[in-house]
Amino acid sequence: MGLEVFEILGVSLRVSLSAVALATLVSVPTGFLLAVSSFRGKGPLVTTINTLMALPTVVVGLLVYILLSRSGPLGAFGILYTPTAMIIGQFILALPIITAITYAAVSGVDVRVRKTAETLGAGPWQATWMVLKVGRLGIIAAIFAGFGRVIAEVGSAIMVGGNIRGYTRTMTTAITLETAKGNFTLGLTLGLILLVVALAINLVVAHFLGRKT
Amino acid sequence: MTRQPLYRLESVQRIVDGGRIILDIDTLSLPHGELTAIAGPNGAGKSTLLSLLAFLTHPDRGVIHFRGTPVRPRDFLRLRRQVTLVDQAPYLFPGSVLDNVAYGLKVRGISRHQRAVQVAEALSLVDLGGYANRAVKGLSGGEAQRVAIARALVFKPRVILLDEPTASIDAARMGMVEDLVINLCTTKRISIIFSTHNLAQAQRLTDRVIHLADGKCVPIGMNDQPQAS
Repeated sequence: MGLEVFEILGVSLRVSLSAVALATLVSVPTGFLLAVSSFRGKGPLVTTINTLMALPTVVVGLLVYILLSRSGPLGAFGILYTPTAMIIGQFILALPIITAITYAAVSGVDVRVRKTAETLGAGPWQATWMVLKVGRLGIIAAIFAGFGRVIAEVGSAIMVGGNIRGYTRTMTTAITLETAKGNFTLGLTLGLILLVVALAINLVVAHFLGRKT
Repeated sequence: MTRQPLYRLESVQRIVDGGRIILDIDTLSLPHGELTAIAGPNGAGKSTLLSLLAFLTHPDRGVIHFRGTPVRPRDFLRLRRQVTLVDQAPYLFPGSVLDNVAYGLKVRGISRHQRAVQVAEALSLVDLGGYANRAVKGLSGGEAQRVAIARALVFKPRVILLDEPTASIDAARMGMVEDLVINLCTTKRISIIFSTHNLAQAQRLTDRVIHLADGKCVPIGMNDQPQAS
């Protein structure tokens, strides 16, 4: 296995970090807007988003497969069994988690933050930035939760990535394969490496936040 | 030529959901550079009036004139930068005293160096020199109140609105805040409008007392007397 582990780890990180970065761009503003606005149907929408957090990874895998398969509506792009397909699947998985936790985090920010900022002369964007700044720990937790969800998922990755060696094989799909082959020790070792990498990312961000706060 | 009043309210109403009128002011003029008290019991509409004067909310009916000019919604941000409101239990942003006091300068694009100078000045005015790097977490109620006042003073507003400035601090600190308010008005010539449910306090600090009851201006002595404490 040796060097191949690093290659697999690289695919895992590249796919999951890309998916989370894209989902963050969509979910953080969505969660924020949901929290600060009121409109008809907001309650059911929030309930739907919360429910989608439990979306089975294989269902997402199946949906993306249907979309990207040769006869599917996006089949012409020919991206099934590529890292791009895996990013799409993980993006869909991360969306509801980051949106729902951002919504909860921003809803939990004291309503006086915006009012105080406005009282002190902040414009709408400056006041919004202050609300985000005060709620940033919750938003970062949302992004981490999204990352945790996608780096550990296997259903979507294996269905739309195909577990192709040196191309779409990730840590989780490799664990599935090694387990099927009876290499339990290797499977467990890969799982442990995945956890250590996730811990390292957490520690780096926690250290950065600790210096900032 | 007569100088225009600082504020002039004409037929101003604030209406909440369900059509209930919570503020109904026929005419009201507030002068420049003076200390004005708005006295009234809880629920009289004092905070609602201050919120309108701070340009944080729009009147549902009527017109507010500021320095002789009728205020339009698009003027709000510009005018908000000349006026500031300090709540009775002010919210301090997480971080240091410096972060809080400098905020109003930061949003106005003042340089870091200039901010430091003005923050030190404002903190010394409220007798909190040397507090700049303290975390707001450990401040007492009275200190937090003074940080909030310094935060309001730092950008040299024309008007400071204080919502029940002594309601959430102990009696020992009350005198200090009262002295500070009078001092700011007399020496800095800042127009200060404060609300209080304590009529005795209002009359002790100024001759200009507006009495609110059930959202309307009423002559002092009529029903709905403010609570004296």
